[in-house]
Amino acid sequence: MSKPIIRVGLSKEPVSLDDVAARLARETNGLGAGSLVVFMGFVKGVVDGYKVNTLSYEAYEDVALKKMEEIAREEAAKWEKTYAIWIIHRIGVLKPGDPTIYVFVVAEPRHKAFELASRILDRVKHEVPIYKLEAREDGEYWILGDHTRVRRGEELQEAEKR
Amino acid sequence: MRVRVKLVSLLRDAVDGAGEVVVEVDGDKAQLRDVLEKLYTSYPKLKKLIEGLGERGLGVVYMVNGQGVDLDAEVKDGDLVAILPPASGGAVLE
Repeated sequence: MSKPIIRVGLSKEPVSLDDVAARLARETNGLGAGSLVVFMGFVKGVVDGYKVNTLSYEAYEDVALKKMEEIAREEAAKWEKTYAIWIIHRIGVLKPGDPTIYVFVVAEPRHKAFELASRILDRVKHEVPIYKLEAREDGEYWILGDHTRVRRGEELQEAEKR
Repeated sequence: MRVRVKLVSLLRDAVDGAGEVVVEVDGDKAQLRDVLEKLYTSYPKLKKLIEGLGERGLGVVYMVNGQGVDLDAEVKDGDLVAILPPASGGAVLE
């Protein structure tokens, strides 16, 4: 079997789901692939009952890209009939409803494609150095680790008191 | 020697918003802990912030030129050090 297609990216702009999916279907159908799973995350408009204005993403870019590629390669290696993995993470200032991350997986059979997409998403969220700042009507919050929100400025005030 | 230190997320706020800070240390090489101590003399808030995060289970990881390292790591002139809090939406970086 030929090597799977592995692509990763950080993008300031949204991507066209149709274009990426059609391209992957064109590139892999001749290999026997017939299922493509897409996960797309988008910015929540309400968190903890408060309206969200923007969600800003910053990445340690070189390391983020390297880590995303490593995750894609490791996951592809676990299942022989993985034909393509394409991960795109948004960076920059996003608004509610804007796409934040895309994970495309082409694999057979289809339940494996779902499993792979789910695992890749979890790993990207845990292992890739990408950071969020949530600006909402009650203030700005850095999001760290597993959903810990730190109000901007509060930790610094605490640090000054130490 | 001069070393660049990259800071992201809330750590950037502790160095007045700079994404990168240059630290000068005597000699041609040093341990990462010495570079950080020098950095903390300019930004004492940063040290306290990192300690506070650690106590909340949000410990930082250190990288030199994109590779995860510990505080004993050797750092040379021109190296890029990064101090990274846990990624948003995940646990501590591996």
